[in-house]
Amino acid sequence: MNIYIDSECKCHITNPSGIYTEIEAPKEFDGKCKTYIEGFRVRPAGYIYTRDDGAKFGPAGSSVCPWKPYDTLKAAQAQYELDMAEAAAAYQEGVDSAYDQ
Amino acid sequence: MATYKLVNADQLDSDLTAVGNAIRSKGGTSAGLSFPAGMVSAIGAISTGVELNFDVVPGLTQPGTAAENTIWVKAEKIGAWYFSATQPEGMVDYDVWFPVGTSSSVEFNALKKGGIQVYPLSAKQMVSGVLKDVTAKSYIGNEWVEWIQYLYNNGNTYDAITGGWDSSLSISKFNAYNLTHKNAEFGNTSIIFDLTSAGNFTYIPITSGLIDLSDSKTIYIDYTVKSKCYGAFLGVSSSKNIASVNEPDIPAKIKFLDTASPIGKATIDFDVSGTPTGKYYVVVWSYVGGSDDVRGCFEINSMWRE
Repeated sequence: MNIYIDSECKCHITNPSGIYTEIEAPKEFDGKCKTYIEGFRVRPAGYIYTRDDGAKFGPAGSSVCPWKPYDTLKAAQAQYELDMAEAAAAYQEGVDSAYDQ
Repeated sequence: MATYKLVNADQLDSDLTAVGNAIRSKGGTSAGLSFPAGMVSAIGAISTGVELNFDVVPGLTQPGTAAENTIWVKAEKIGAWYFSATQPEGMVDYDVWFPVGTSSSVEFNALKKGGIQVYPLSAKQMVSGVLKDVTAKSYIGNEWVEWIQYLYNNGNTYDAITGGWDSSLSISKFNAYNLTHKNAEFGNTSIIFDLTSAGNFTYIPITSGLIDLSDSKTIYIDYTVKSKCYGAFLGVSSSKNIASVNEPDIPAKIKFLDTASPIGKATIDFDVSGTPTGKYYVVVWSYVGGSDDVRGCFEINSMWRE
């Protein structure tokens, strides 16, 4: 799966303006919802970003770290997984119902 | 009618001189003393007990200037304060504990005369029955100096802060890859990761205690690359039962060293501002698991947070 990072290494699922850099998503983003992924920065080696307080990180090393509070990202992912499970259950119920008729 | 007493003049002079000498000796002075006013005044000026060479002041805003060795604690108010390697008993709300070690970025002599050298590491205040890390700075040499909160520095494991470093952790996913675990060597001045041995293995030192990162935004690691290595990582985890180095076990991590890292010393910073308030283990790991992995050696000299 590929994602996009902006000039501050913040992740994006889409690239509507075409100005973001496309990168391969870290494996840990597999199965993660948009809200979760877009709460992270992925900084490849050679890149630099500036945190809100002015601190700069990079270019040495590479990192994956949340820029939004991780608790909120976990909560969003948990809700996403719940929604997906409910949708799957409803779909299966519909399929089963169709077979019963 | 006044009463007069006849005394030996030489004896009186000798006795008053003895008293004056005793006063001067106790007060650390040398000037002559008149009787009785000068002696009374000099006795009143003698300090009782030991005089401290520092002060601890609270405030939500850092003061502009202060007396040398003033310690400012970013807190609305302070109760009692303690300098101790271990948490004092009986702390109540607003009390402040300054864990101490054997080295510090803000060491000071606590006394005006003689010396008690103090090596503060950090500041913790009891708030609603819970110890919380608070910011502290010292006024040294006409400027406010940061308290560098070391997690490890040149052989010092800062047990009061970290609980020590546990080198016995093994991560189950690495075990599943048939990577055996080896204990990193805690040398006199560095943590040594020697990956040149045969076989596939991991090194995973982790703080034994949880580190409160609520007030921390950045972790720094200073290391020395002795020879090229595949990689080394630093991360934070809410649990010591780590199954995988990928989230959710380790939601924030940095690969601080790889085959492109030059030989020699380097420092890198790691953004932990997004980790939620609370306590985390700090984890460092490195491994060799495949024939392409470059086997080298590196050492960690120090780690600190701010």
